[in-house]
Amino acid sequence: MTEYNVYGKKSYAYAIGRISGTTHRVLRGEEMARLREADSETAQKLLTDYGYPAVTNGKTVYDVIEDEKNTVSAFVREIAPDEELTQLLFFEEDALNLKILLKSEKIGKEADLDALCEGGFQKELLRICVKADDYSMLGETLETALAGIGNEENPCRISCLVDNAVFSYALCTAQKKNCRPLAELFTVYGEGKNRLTALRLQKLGKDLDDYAFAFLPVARPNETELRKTESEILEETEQALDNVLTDLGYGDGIGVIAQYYFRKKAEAGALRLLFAEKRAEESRGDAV
Amino acid sequence: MSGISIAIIGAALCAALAGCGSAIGVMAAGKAAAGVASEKPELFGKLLVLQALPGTQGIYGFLTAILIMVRIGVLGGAPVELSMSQGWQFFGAAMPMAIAGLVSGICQGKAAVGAIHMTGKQPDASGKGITMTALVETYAILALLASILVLFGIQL
Repeated sequence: MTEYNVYGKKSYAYAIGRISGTTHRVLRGEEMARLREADSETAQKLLTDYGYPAVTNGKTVYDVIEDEKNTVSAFVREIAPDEELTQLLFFEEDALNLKILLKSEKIGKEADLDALCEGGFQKELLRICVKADDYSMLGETLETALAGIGNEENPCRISCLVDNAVFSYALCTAQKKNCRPLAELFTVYGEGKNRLTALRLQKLGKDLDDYAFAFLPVARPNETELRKTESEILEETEQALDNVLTDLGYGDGIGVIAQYYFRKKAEAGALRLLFAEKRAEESRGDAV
Repeated sequence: MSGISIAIIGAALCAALAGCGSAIGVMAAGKAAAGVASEKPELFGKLLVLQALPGTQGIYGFLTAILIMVRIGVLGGAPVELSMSQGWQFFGAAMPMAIAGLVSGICQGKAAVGAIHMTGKQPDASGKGITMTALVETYAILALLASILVLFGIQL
């Protein structure tokens, strides 16, 4: 039984049921703590015990983490009842794909579509849009936001404009579809990103107003927030996102699916970092 | 409208509304259970109990309707002559079960959905889920009692 339709529609109760029972569950805090404490080899074994594929056949632990992320992404697409809303969950992947395609185009190289990640938009569609410098097929919001990006030469500006455009598209669509959980999630996400952008610019000694294009179209950090320490900003940003994701889990719609997907994505990032740290520690030990 | 017609409408509404409540509740629980069972088929037995729980309101509604029909003689083939006032009394007796059956069936279905999702995550917690879902049943049972007490208190 892989799909369940009621009069041609999948239901959220069914989708959330699949998430509740899935073997690709989100790791618990104590499981992450155990992974942190263990050495690299034990941590890999623990990861397999927790439901990740085994590290075999010349694969690295990073491949396994990536495979799990791809499996989760395919799973979310399979179960989600509303395709348009589900597509919004992959806005980060879309932005990344667009950036790669645009920058490849700038240097006159053909981007390998197989190397791009699965986003909300089809990779081929994005490639055609970038080639033609015409984004009308991606909808009005993206068409307006990406107008003239083909003439932009600064790679930093290209990245910021794409991030801005794709984020705006996701937020506007969630608001237009009256999807409060996603609109709330994207707003908190955007505010968090803006806080981090401000922090980076401050560290580089740059004036924030000169880089207004680098901020996402939601509230920017105020003076009080800018005076906080780096650790406070990072902690608060993480906490705000965690709080909104926890709240989404109490709902009974796309919010639960979004919570699951974003938590799995964060888990993949945390695991990659964890294993990279272990590898660095081990190589330091070998050198000594 | 005659008294017997009003009493029959009351009985019909009682069975229909409580049945609708149960159907909605069981449907919601069924969708959630199908989702969990897709991933963990071994939990089918536990999920079935949770899915069946919101179904009891329909049975209570049906029981109340049968009792009304027995009292007014419709089932025996010899309907009792009822005044308008007596007809409304039977109608009123059916209402606690009809209304509470509809609402509690839907609410129990929602509770069952939550319990099913919990069972999916922690199969050992299914007992707790059944207890939490069964608490909603209390109000359907109280409504059934109220309907029966009123029903047998009507003087013919």
